Amino acid sequence: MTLARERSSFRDPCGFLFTHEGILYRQINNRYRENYDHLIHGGLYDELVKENLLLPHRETDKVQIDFPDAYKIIQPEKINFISYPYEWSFSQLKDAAELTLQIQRIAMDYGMSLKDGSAYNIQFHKGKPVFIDTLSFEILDERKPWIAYRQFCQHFLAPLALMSYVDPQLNTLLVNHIDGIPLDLCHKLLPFSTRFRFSLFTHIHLHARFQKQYETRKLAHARRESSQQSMRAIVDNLQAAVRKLTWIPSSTAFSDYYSQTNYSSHSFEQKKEIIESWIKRYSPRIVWDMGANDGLFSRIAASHASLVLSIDNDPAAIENNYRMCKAEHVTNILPLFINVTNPSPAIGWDNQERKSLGERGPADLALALALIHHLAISNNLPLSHVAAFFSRTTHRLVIEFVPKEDSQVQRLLQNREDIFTDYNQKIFEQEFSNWFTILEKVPIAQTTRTLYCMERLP
Amino acid sequence: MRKTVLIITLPIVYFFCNANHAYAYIDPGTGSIILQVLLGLILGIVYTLKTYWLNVKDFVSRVFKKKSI
Repeated sequence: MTLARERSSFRDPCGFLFTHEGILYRQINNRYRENYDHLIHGGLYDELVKENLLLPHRETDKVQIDFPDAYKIIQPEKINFISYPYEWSFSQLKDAAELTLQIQRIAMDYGMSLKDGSAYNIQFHKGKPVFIDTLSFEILDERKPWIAYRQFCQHFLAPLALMSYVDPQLNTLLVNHIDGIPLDLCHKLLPFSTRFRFSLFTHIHLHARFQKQYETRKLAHARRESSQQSMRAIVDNLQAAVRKLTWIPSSTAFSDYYSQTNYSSHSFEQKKEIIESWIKRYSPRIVWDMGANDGLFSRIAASHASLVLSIDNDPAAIENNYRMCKAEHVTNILPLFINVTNPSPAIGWDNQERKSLGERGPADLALALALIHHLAISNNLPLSHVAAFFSRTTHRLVIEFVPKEDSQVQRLLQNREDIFTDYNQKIFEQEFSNWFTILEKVPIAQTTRTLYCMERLP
Repeated sequence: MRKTVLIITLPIVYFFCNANHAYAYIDPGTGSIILQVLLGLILGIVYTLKTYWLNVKDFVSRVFKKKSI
């Protein structure tokens, strides 16, 4: 019997996650019994699951464990890929924030309240954000203010305000601040004009000041008292604050990419057909489309896979991709803001709370289309390094080789010395053959490019 | 009365203040709780005033409607 506690599940004494024979379970401890029973039998669980807001679970007695203090073992519905808020676009984080507040409102109607406001409690599942932490609900004490208020502001409001007012990539600050962006840091980074917006002035600027002012003071119980009406007013105000934050992506760095590449419409159609036939042949469960731009090829892959990660380092491309998926009700594409040359690291305590991108792989199949020249030339990566990286990332690889004669490569070389003597198709094939079997190789008509389908060596 | 004065003056006092970088390692939630209690009061008052105002508006519009009939 192989039981392993999840390394990220240690903060809350009410329970923890563990895996057993590859399946994820959650132990509910006795101290959470009253809250859990209220959640399940008070109608809140059914309401949230019915509305697809909370990840469903089932109770199980099949797992015999010797962890102490167990009240129940539950098996949550499986999520195909765990992503983190520093990998989301503006609208993904905004939707996650709105979901958290919506759940808090509903929970209050059922006499419960969220005891934390962590962005890590949200995952994207079947195309929508969903709340995953069953232990986050506690019976509402009407005299207490909302205990998750500070965390909500740090995990959601601060990064959203920074993304909206300063730069859409600033949620990457969450990599360095696992418990949300410190409000005093957010206060310094936001433009002065945000002080004239009531919600940002209060929840960010004044909040930062209050945190500093009272950090070492003991608070009398009388001063902690609040009312349910006040809590509702705060949640209402936070909802309005989040709703008003916007970001309109301007044209992306690659938004006109497809019209400016070396493809005629015929060759582009041929490229699509070849790629679709390979994906269809292998029916992969998980596909990683690396350098996905706005997800054109992710959409092709999505017809034949359970889940496609649409990865790019252009925040506007990821934002547009997510908006398109929402508008088209696509449920199996997850756009993620990740730089392939500097993928998400493992973070948190002992570097084991949030996993690196590599630890969340490998993919069944990866697409690396029009990417190799950016890795090898823009980032000076030797082809041997690129081949080794992909061998760790995926079982099968569909990769496009773009030679030096291609206008896109010429563009990358136009203002720099060509030091890339090893960047040619022969060496590309040699280096990738060290890690992969080349199954198929098809030149794309009317271009100098070649598509390869490869399988990792056993 | 003192509370009302506090509610009105605190935001003004803090408006132009700059918070220094703080690592709230002792009780990071204290300031958040105090702010939330105060904010809850202010927003509660706003909510009540809004409700009164809507009632007055409703009353006035009903009176004028009756007159026009």
